[in-house]
Amino acid sequence: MESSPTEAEGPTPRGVLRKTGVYGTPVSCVSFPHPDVLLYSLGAFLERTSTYRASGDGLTATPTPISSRHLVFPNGNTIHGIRYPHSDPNRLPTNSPPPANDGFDATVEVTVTGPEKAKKYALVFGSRHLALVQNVWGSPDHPVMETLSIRVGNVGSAHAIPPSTVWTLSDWIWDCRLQSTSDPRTDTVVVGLAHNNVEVWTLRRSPEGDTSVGGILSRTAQLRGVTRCITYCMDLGRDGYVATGTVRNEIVVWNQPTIHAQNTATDKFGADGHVSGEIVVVPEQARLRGHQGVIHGVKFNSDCRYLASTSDDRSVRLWKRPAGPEHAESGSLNGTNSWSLVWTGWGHTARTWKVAFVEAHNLVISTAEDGTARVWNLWSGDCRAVLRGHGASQNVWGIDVCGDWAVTGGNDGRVATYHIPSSLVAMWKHNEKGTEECVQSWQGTFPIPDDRILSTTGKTSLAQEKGAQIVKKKKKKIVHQILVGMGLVESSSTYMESPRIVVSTRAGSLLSLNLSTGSWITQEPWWNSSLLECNNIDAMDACCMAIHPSTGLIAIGTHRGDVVVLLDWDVDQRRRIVWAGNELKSVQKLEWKTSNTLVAFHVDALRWWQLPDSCDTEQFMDESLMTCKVLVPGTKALVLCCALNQKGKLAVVGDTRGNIALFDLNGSVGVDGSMAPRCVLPRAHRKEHVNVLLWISETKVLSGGNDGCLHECEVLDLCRLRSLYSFAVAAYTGIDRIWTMSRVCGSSRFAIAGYRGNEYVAIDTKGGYELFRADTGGRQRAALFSLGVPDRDGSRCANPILTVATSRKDGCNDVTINMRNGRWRGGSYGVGLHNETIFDAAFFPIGTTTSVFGLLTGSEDCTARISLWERGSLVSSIKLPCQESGVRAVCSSTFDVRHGTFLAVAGSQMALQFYHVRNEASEPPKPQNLTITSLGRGWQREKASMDHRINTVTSVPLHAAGDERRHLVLTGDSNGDCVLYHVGEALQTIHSGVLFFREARPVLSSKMCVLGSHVLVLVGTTEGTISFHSVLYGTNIDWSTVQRQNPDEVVQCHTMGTNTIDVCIMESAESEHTILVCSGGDDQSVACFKLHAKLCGSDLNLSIQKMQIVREASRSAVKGIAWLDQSHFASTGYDQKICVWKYTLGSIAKKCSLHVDIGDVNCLAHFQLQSTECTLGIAGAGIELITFNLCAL
Amino acid sequence: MGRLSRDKRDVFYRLAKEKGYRARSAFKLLQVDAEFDIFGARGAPASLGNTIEPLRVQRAVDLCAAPGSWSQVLSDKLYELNHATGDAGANSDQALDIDEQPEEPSIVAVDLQPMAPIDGVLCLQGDITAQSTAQDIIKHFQGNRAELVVCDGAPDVTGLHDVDEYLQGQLLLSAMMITTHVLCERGTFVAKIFRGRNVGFLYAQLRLLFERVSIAKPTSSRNSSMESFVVCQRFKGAPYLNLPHDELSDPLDSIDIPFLACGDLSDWSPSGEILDADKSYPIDESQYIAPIAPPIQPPYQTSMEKQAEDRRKKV
Repeated sequence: MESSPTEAEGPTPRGVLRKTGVYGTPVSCVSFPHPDVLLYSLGAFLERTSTYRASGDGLTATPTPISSRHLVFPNGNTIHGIRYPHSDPNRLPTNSPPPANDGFDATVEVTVTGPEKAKKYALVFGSRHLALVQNVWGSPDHPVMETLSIRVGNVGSAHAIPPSTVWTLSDWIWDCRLQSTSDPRTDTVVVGLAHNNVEVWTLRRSPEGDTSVGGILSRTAQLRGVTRCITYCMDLGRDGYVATGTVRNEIVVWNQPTIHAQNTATDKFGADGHVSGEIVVVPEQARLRGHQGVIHGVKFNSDCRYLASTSDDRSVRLWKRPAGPEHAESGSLNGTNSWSLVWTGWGHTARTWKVAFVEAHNLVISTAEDGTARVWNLWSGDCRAVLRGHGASQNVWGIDVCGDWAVTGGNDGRVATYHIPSSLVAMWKHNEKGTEECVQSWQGTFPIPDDRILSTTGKTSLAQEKGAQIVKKKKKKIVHQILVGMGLVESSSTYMESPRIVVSTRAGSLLSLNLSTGSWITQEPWWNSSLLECNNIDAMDACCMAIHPSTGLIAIGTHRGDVVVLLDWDVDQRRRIVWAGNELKSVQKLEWKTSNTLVAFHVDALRWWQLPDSCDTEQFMDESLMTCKVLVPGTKALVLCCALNQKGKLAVVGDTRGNIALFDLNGSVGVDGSMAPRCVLPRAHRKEHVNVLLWISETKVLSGGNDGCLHECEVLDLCRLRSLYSFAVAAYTGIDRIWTMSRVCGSSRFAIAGYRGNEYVAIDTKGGYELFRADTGGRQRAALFSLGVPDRDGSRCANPILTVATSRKDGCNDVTINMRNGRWRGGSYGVGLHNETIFDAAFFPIGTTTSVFGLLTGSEDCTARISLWERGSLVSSIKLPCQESGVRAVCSSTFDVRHGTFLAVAGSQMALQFYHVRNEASEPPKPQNLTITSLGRGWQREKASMDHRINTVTSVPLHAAGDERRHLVLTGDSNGDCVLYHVGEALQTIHSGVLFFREARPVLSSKMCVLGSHVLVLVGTTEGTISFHSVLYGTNIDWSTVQRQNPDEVVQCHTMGTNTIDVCIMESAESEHTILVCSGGDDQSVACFKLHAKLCGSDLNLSIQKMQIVREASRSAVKGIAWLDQSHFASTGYDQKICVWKYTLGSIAKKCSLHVDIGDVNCLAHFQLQSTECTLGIAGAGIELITFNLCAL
Repeated sequence: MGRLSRDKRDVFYRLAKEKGYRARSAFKLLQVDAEFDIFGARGAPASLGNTIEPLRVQRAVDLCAAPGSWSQVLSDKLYELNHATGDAGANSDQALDIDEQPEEPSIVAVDLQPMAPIDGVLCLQGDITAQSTAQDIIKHFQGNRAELVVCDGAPDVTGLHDVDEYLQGQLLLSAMMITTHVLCERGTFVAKIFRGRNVGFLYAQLRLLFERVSIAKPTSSRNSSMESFVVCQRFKGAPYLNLPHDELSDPLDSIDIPFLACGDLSDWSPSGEILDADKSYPIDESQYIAPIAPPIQPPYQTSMEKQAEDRRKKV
């Protein structure tokens, strides 16, 4: 039964397995050779893109980067670094500006390179390998990157190794340095290896026209530090400086000034191209102690006067070398004193990885596991900015700096850029503001002037002065200054030149804070005695205020339901108009929808005041021109928000209990003049507040609530509302604002703002890019978030301001202003996938062409994604709603591509969701035309514990009665339960599952296939078995009665864990079927056998034939297996190899294999492109696509 | 719920706390022992496939020992073994002084990090790549070598997969190097290994030093984990004693190493079923046991203190 491990593996035929691309993996190497060009690595691929900066700035520029991809290591190897020739004038000047002050006047301008420079090569390294890549910067003349072939050894040497594009060294490479020499055709390559070794190589370029080989390498020196232990990082600085970070929490610094001595004399080389000579042991100059964990990153500044380091202990440290030449000859003993710690930067909340110097601004920038990059003052170690271009709780890996710009590499395959001067935060000092023009972010606290009306004059003011003493004796009742509301008035207001924050109080005063000067102005009070006399409104009745930012119209609502309207700038003859409450209850909130529309939110209703568009703002004061509508949702909750659609016919209203009500404004009005909703969507945001509503099209409404979710619903015919999906936005505890950003590429782009704990955060939903963040100190505090002045192109959030009111102990209030000036300058590149390992993936077709396909992935980061691939490239990725815990299994099934595809997503805590995805428009498919619909969730009766999870899900399309399309879904979970669901392609909140079979051990893998009138179910367990069940299906089968006690057949394929199963139908006739089954196990084996199924009455009789097992098929657990055709299958696993096997009766033979770059390989997905060609998707810490060509085999 | 969540997740985590082990990894060593008889307690080949008779272990070394669960197993097993044989020999003699017993077992645990003390185990804080550590161990054994060296060490995972694998490989090689300094001929070496891309190189190195090398995956190790255990039996000794702490030669031809699933711990489970790390078992929430050995001086300690300080300042 068991075949001998057939290792008759010849040389892999070329082109059988071809690397197509790597996506969504950690970006450990980022590089900014020039502010217009960005390079980053994805596995063995080097990606180049032009930056947005080239076409303008920031977010709104149309992203049309000139992108290019190059496979540097054809056999696979993750790229960890790229280095350019030093002393290259196009890189930044190596001498840092004089350390005079912490100023920002040094703006570095870098000129574009000529074609000659663009042809220069860069050194790319990863693990033990090096390559020289030409045209990395890209230019119109040389757009394509190329790897030079290099030869190690002398020209004409008999023992010369044949030329190759990849050059392999004896140990792991931590750092490299490419040093130009006086000879333009010769460079010195210094390689820093693990174990504290440095090798010096000389690279001689071949003369022009010699196409056989690009350059010849010879090793000229080998150096070694004294300390020998496991190392984590190394940096090669100028003048032969070497710093090594060790496992012993120390940084070892040594120096060999002759390291770059040009030694190009050929007579010194031996036959193998190496200088025969001893390894030089270099004494240590310093051993820097202080870090409390292993050292992850070290970096010298350009003149090696400073050294920055990062570590497991979450700190960033800066070390300084004293001036003077004494260091050169110092031995290892007294040398330990030659470097000293300057500062330790605390603030990162997880391990710190890499660090870089921003020489132009005297800053240090570090990346960490906490999802941020932090900017530190070089001299003081103060944290100047926290950069959050990547998702929260995501690793940020690589860092590079070019002039004013920095780039970081994320964990999900995206890179983010930052304009450093505009991200710096300064404390508000209004008198100094003019001197710090570059700083664009301020924070400042301003006490609101005391306007309290004191009941007994004199006495209380004395009490105020001695407040503290009186409190000691007896708890003195303090009169509090109560704020009615806050609002921002833009500078366009005619009253004053600068923008202001206007505050109204229950003392009747109106105070405004000039944001340019930081000073308070007491305006004419909003309340006067005539209000009391004529309208019976006391200043103490006020409870809310709204101010229109550009017209300066102020509306104040009262407990009695009245609204007072006045003009902010109408100083001399303040007119006040009162709209009486008309028996409506207290006004909770007021909102200016436009300059002509005011909405008053009463406890039980809302009033919609509208002035015809033709009218002037001042005519607002004329009640006779106004139209007023009263909407009563009748949901027994307070109304909080509303939105009117474009045509102005429909309005949606949200309340405090999560309901959304729809009103038809042209509809009938009740007897009392109020309108009732046409439809109420209950609990759209559970029982939490609905804070914001936004019409995103004529029929679709997006809402945000205190449940931290975005919810989308659709207006159907007859004014019905249908919930489409609810989407938990990562880390948000409450969503407060949603608005439309500028339009990019024709599609709308939304930004949202809300609370993440006590922090108020605004993000661009497209890339998760953070626009604004400020700590409010508590959600109960009154906070006002303003988007600021719209830009010329109408995009909002150009300079957001968050104003938070806090009460002081003496009864007065402070306002704290957090403000950004100017556009956030930075960008995000690449398509992001998952933050954490991908457990499962499934391809599905989108159009009738195979050049475009979709991939469904589920990850430990609690999300599933639908990604679109066009001609082998990832073009976009859509995140499906988050689950509470990790997504462990996904599957897809398709009847016909025109009807779309059914998707199932399953994971921890027994979560199971069904979706349907369809391409709405005609060919070719476009991401924006894809419609994703939620079909509801699967529900199973039993749930054992919090870690009861679904490990596998599989589905097959099954026609039900008539035209109805239904799918049979099987889940296998950690308790050994297999549950069947019969799901239609229509929305149904809950689909109940039927416990079909219970295994004794956890289920790891499953597969189903349709054989005539039966469905064959295969289930793999941690025991290493596969069990078979056949189920008869028909139009009228009762799925609740399909429970099984025993499987039809059980096979022991593996000694441990059947991780993956695939089946291939060979022959299928009316009553007889032959299928092929292959499986991969945790015991490193693959198994393959034929299964005969014969119809006997209404049962299928199964018989297993020709079982073949390759015991040592892999060096590690096999995690994915797939049939390529009827005789070949592919397997992959933790050994990061994809192998193609040929199965013939009696043997399994390995045909070829290829290294996979992504780690943590968890599954293998298969998509047929043509009859002889297919795409294999390997998922783990990212996605790698490999093309398999059967013809080449 | 927070403190119970890990209990709910893992049956071995719970079992470890019940039995007083500092970490669930103790069961991995117990399962490996059940398969390979690494302590030589049974004195005869343990299973059909395992024809190597191990030495009876008197001295053992635990490399990268913190928090110390493997040292606890070593301590339990060795003293139990010693008692069993000691009792057999001393049955007739009623009052036997401890000093007169043949030889007390001797265990050394080495780690870079500090570790809470364990009865009968000498805890050394040191680097396994340092020559002096090997000398300290030998000194404790009064010039003798150990019959068993175990290593459950793994560097903290960074998330860059190839770097993690390289570092883990380096740690294993370092453990292997020091083993050649402290292990006696025909001795056994058990170490954690990540079955990753370049694992063939590590196998090749180990095959040079040992007559038999196997890979074992206990059921207490999760299915989704890359972790396995390499069991190296019959150290070849003489030609490979005291290898220099230096780089290794180029990788040899890769060798296929037999894989063995091991995992009978049925005597641990109340119902006698095979316990599975991937399964969830019911829990009695009233029976909560606090973790045995919380971490000592983690690298992030200062960082946490600074954060707490910042929070206090804000309030």
